[in-house]
Amino acid sequence: MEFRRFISIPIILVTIWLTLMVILGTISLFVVPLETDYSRIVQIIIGAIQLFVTILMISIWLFVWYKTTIWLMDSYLKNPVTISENSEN
Amino acid sequence: MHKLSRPEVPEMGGIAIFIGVFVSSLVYFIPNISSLTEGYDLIKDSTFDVRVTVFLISITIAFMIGLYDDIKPLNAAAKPVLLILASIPIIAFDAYSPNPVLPIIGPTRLTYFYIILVLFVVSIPANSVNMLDVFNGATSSTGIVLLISIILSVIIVNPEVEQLSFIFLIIGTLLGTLMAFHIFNRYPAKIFGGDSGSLTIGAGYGLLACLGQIEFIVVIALLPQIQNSFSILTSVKGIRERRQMSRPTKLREDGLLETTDSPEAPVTLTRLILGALGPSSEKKIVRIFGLLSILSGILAILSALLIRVV
Repeated sequence: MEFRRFISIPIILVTIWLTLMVILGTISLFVVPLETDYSRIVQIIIGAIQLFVTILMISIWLFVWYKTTIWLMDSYLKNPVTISENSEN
Repeated sequence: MHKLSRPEVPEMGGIAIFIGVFVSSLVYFIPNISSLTEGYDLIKDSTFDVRVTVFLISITIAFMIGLYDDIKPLNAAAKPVLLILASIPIIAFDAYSPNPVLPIIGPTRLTYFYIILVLFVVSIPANSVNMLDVFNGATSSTGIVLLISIILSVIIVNPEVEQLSFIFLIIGTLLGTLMAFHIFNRYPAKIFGGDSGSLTIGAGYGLLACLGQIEFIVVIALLPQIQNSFSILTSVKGIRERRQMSRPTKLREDGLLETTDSPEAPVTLTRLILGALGPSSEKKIVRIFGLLSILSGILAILSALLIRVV
């Protein structure tokens, strides 16, 4: 019981990392190689698209992160552990 | 603070931390200074690394802000803003490279956007470390795990020799200092680091990330600290003074800590752990901080592998 409840905290950390990797993978689809020799205007347009995608993905990521943490805390408070369940201190 | 006996413990151990970091960083200058006797120019010398100078100036600024905060507590918003000052030497000495390497993507070119990030490179980690510095040995034990995982990650990434020597200098100074401090700070603590200690250590992590060009690895290794500060800031909707917030935990008569059920209390990492495990001792919570640091260290190493693959 105790372990099952505790494991959700490390899972949050792993999920944060995994979603970050997915975000980086998505952004990488829009990344232009450094050596690419595009005209100035094309570079600005590509840069703007990259920035938009990055901000969008990171906003979604932070929102999901925030909601998950709040949901986890609420669920813990609604189902508190009694001292008899808490084996070792 | 979290003990029924309320023992009196000296708080400004940050002075010892700062001296440890500062003096051991000076080791880097010894070969250069000795070579001066052979007509060597310290500044023109190609082995002279401006990043060490920037590290020393920035860490001193962060320490001074922490010291002031220990003596006369600063306003909640003033601390992160003042810590931006510690990032100024990085820009002033042009000691940064705006091309952070990310897993999957590889090297990036952030140019002007990176300068905006540099402004927060000390403030964010310093405040994150400061916010988790609530238990005996928490900062030192998590810091030791974090730095060891960064060493392993850096070996995997395999940067140039010059960069590697700088990274290992910074890690060496921070790790040596934290190991010595941990002897006195572990449960039951004989001394606390105070804000001067946690801000110095946190600033060290930020400077290591930026000047060593291992930004992503350090961010991942710092996940427990970032998770904690992110949860606090989002749950109380902004930066608040500790005194303005409800206490997230309470001390029971049997000496165990338990989470409060107040909806106004910030959602801290400690509160999440206590919510999950029920009433627990301070020692157990610090042990779990350590376990979470090991996990984030493993994630940092995995990130390094992904950087290497690209």
